[in-house]
Amino acid sequence: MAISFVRTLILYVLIVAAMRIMGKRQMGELEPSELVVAVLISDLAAIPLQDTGIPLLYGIVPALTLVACEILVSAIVIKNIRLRAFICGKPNILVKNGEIVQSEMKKNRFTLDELGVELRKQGISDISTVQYAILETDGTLSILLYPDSAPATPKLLGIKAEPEEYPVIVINEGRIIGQNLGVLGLDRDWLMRELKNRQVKNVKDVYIMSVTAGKKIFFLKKETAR
Amino acid sequence: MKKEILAGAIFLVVILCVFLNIFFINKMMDELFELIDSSEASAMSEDWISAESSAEKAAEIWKKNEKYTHIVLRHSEVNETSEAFFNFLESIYTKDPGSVKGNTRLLKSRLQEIIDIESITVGSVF
Repeated sequence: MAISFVRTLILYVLIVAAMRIMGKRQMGELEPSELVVAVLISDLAAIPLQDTGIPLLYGIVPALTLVACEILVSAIVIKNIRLRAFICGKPNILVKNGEIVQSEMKKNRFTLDELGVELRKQGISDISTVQYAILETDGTLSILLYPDSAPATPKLLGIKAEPEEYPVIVINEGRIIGQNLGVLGLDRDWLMRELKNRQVKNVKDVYIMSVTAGKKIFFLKKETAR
Repeated sequence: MKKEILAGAIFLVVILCVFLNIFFINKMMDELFELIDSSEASAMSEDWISAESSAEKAAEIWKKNEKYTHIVLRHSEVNETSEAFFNFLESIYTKDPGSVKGNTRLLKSRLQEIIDIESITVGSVF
């Protein structure tokens, strides 16, 4: 039992580190090779956990090899377009200029029902409004609507839109994020003045406070301090 | 780029460890085979003191490396080989040439299995 516990801890640390090294892409949008690696690693880790008669190395060595291969292949793929197409595949156009490309649908084993589901997921009920539908290499469907069906943008409406400033959190659940204050070129004195203006005596009473570069402040007190 | 360098380093370390393991296992097995053969030959010529000495030396080498073998080999393989060693020693201590012959074969086949599993051959890979 103790062996299982220790092994689980070791493999947990190793797999979390491996996933972290492989990058954020792993979490959301898996390419075929990445999916294979993710599934294999979790499977390999389970083997020495289930059977304590198998050395831990039988899980660690293949997992490390897979992670290393994946990172190295990803690096090569970035530089080599042909290899990228071979390993990751190419995006396929399922709808071209409003017409469903049946050969591509068949090639990708994509049914009309699935196409309908994907369109509805993106809030599109009328397929005739779709100019392009592209099946990406990670399996997601990118849709481009005809301009007359696309959502209106300020540019289309002739409205001048100001660029939005990104708010940075400076107090998070009662803790001052000094690094973010520095990013905005502000200091603690400024922060304390702003808190005083809002009748807040203690930083711990603030639930969230965010500031934009133009000093637009969003402020919320903790429920317990109200 | 740091990640790629780290991945490359991990890859090289894994390859290096694999080959070092093969080298170490083969070296240990060569030593064991030599001692077991020598012990068997002594037992066949009824020189039981030499047979005992060689067999004990072989068992000692195996025992000394048990920690390592438990890390790199399936525990069942290590345990089966240890058992074969005990049987081999028992037959030497009881001074039974027939039993020595049989147990030597069993022990050597167990050791050969380990070599086959750890070596990179078509048979062991597939």
